[in-house]
Amino acid sequence: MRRRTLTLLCLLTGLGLIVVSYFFLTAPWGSDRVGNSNPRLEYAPLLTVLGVILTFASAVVYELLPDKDKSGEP
Amino acid sequence: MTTAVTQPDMTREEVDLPTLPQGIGHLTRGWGVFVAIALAVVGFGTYAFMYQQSEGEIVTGLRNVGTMGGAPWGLYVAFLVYFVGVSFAGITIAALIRLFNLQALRPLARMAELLTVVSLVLASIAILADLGQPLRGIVNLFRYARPQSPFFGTFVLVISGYLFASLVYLYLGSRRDAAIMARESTRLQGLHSFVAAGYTDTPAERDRHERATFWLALAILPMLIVAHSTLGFVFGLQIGRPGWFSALQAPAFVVLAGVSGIGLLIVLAAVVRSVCDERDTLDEYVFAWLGRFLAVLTIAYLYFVLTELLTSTYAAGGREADVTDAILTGRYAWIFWGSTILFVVSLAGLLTQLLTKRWNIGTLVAIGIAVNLAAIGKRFLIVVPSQTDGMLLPYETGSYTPTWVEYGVVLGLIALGALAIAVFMKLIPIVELPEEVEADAS
Repeated sequence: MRRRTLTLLCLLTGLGLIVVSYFFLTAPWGSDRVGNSNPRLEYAPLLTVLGVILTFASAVVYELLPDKDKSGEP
Repeated sequence: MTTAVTQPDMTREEVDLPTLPQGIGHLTRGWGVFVAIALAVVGFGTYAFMYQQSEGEIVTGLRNVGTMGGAPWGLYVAFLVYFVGVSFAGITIAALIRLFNLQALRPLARMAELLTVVSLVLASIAILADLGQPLRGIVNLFRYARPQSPFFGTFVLVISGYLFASLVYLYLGSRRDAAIMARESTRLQGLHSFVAAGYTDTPAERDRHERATFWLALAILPMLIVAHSTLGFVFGLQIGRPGWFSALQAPAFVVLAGVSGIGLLIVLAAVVRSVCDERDTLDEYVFAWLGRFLAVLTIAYLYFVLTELLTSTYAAGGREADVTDAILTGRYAWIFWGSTILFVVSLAGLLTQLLTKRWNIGTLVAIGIAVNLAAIGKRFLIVVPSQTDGMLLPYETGSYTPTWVEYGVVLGLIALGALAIAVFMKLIPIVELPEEVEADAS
């Protein structure tokens, strides 16, 4: 249960970071106006990258988290 | 079974240490010579790169378009595109093997994943070499990148997401074999235990691994199509650059990526087959499968080339026609026709083997090398001629000739990739260990 919870947490945090940073924090979509050039939050693209990394890291969490009783059951 | 736990021809292990499969930890003279040569070339590449950093890009053949009559994107960008292309086939094959449970091709999975990781690292170094201020490039990408730019897709999806996903895929797949080898008391036991990270190969762990890699494969496949397409869009969406602006750029990028990657995978598989004595696992069936896949992709790519040529020669005018002329009959013609001949001859070789159902591994390796040389030529033609001959502004036709610095950096990158694979082969089995080895080891 703990494995699934942590995996889901990692996955959802990653996906959330991607969506929020990509659509709300980086430079707005639209025309090439100067106002659309800069990100709304500096280093927002880094948050997107971190989101992508967290999303895929959830697979590592899922596999590497040790079993509580070592019997192999999650 | 070629990956036996005991290999009687190795003298060092006969004394006291157990022998690991596939020559893991056993440094042969041939391997040492190869590594020494690769290190020397990497050293030369590093010197060339440092020289460029010290003197500026004036020591390269790269110049501004128009005012300086050159091309700011040259050999580095051509090889960036080539390396990213090679990565495509690796992870595609690995993902297909997991998704469709292609058991006979499982021996290819890890080397395909490794090829992807190595080529993506080389791609990111290649783009850094292209930047006058690499550090500034890294910082500003994370600071200011715009999501509607294809560069954002390329570098966020390819370099971060795709590379990280491939690393995760490679690592999780390697844990089982590391755990098997960690049971032996060798100099690498600590490393293998670290990589295994507590893995004991219980049924529950196997199930978990199957589930995790299935979902990873499912997530990676669409992402890599998007990633490679955005790299094509970097060129294909530039309306002011005749020769680049084309709807075919993205799909053609994906298909040529498959051609070069499968070709290199054939070469790597043949090397592993010979060096690690994996003749039983990497058998003719595996190479025939790769050969058929390569034939289909080569046909598709030649179709794209023909379509592009028909369009640009039939109705194109002005600068679009200038670029086509430069490629077909001008100073880039030798690269275009050389690449085309290599593709056609390779396809003829593949079809001959396909029709006769007799696959020759030596011929396939030659074809693998040929399509990669052709792919490098095509990548150069995608990048350079549109900058030197495709200007809409009234500038003179430009020129671009790479200098020794660029050749040095690119050679260094290739050697670095070969070195990384050679070192990996001595640490972790590059071919997944079969069940029998596990039984022997336990």
